[in-house]
Amino acid sequence: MHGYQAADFECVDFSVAFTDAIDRNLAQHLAKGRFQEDLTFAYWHPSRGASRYTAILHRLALPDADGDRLLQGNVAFTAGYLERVLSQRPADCGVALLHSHLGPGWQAMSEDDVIAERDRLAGLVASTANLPLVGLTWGTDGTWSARFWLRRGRHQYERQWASTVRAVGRRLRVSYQPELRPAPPSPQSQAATISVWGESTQQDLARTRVGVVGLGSVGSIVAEALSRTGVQHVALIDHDLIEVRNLDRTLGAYPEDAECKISKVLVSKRLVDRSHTAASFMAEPVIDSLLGGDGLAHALDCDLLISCVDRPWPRHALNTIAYAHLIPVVDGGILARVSEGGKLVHVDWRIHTVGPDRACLYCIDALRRSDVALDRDGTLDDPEYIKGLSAAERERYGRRNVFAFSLSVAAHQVLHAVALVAGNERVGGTGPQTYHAYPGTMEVSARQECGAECDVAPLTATACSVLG
Amino acid sequence: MLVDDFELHASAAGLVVGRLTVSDQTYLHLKGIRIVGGTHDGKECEVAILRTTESPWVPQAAVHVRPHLVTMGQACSQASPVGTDWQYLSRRFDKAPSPRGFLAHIFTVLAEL
Repeated sequence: MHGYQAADFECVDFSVAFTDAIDRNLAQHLAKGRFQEDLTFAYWHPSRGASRYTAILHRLALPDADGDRLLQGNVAFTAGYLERVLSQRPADCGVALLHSHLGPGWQAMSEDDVIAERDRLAGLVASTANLPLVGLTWGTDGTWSARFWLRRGRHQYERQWASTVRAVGRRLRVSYQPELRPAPPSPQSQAATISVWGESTQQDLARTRVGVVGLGSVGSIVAEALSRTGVQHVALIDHDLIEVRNLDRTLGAYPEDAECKISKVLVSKRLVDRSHTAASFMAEPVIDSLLGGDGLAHALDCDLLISCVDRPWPRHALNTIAYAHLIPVVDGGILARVSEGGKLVHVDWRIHTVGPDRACLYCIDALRRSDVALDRDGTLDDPEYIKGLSAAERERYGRRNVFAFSLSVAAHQVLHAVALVAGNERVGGTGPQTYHAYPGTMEVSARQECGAECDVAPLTATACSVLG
Repeated sequence: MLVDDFELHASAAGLVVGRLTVSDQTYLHLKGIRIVGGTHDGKECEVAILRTTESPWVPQAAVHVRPHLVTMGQACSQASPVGTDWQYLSRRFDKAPSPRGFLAHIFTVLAEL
């Protein structure tokens, strides 16, 4: 019996993801000099989005020093090693075979590679794990290539190349399949941008699939910045409609949009469809909450998410996605304090990136569990409850904001996103940032890791269900 | 912490753990809890905790108790959706998210009444 059908994967974009820690471990194991390849097996969890299927490597099953493989320039695994890997497979995990080649870049497969994966392994793995075999090849420059072997009939397995392989840590490093995700041209309209961070960074940035969650005051600006910067594929996720009260803070929104109750997503799409500088551009409208099935599924299609929501419950979900599904999240928030007389007393805003090798929203005190619980219950929408809170707490839930604050937060969120893709802290800073409008200082937190008791970091690479 | 982790821990700690379903909501039902400290020191009560299945688990900012332990409306109490003989005690939980920590939170809430 095979628990999957090839039909389940029609029109699916395949990807593989793992943490930077696993990537480093693999590089150490696979780099055997100029004349020797090597291999290992690994276990993976499936992460399924609306159109992308990702194998998230959870754990390596490294070979023993001797006896598990035959090293003669090229490399082969022994039957004993394979038997051990299959028998020790954790429940609900798939199996991947990873091996090295002796050249750089995205690797094609030799006839021996195909025989090993398609003829020796694909059927055995499919019947044992009820999941397709995943094969990966490591190039000497650290580029990964990957494919899935799908059962098409009795003893028939067909290769589907992954379009991307993502290594996620302090940096988001993505290897692109050159035909499925070719490097885009550098149009004249991006000349100034490329002159700052270079063509290579621009090509990586352009091909990064970015999801903007929340298309309000901050999100509408973020979407515009991404499109002008040259990002080719942006998913716009929000369930809300434009109202008159949004017009002082939402880029691209007009009174007639409020009158006609146009979706925030469609307002933003209208804007970025005209302003983008990429030769090929797609703004994918997702008129749903992140907490709805469609919103969450489209978020899981992205390489990087920018959180422009201020509600605790969706931010909790984004925090989990960042670790469990290896999709880093750039988050931000604004706290404006106003006196009882209605005068601005102080304003702070903060920007941070969460995901593997970084502290989560709880550990940097950007989110409180009890707020998440109250938001989930609907309590934060209960005026009676809010009325009974202390002045400080009421302020925290006040969500006061003006366009200029949003501009600043959006700018820094985009810079964090660029830094993550470019691997350049000189763009986005070294850690979580808090800006105090008075006296006008930006603080950078030294905290880089979750605390020992955090229950989010242990979910890393588990691809667990986010909402249950 | 997952809700299953807490359920297992509460059982391992010697509590009788069941489930209640009320209006499509499921609650963990902890029976025979002896209050240690406070005005109800030594009394036995039952506790219900909303069971949700997100990862990681975020406990509701409330502990439901039977019988009523305070005059309704006082000490951040209100009517509980679990039933009229239950009382909703509104309490935030922002400490270390471990099963042990959350069980300690429940006992602390009861001891502080």
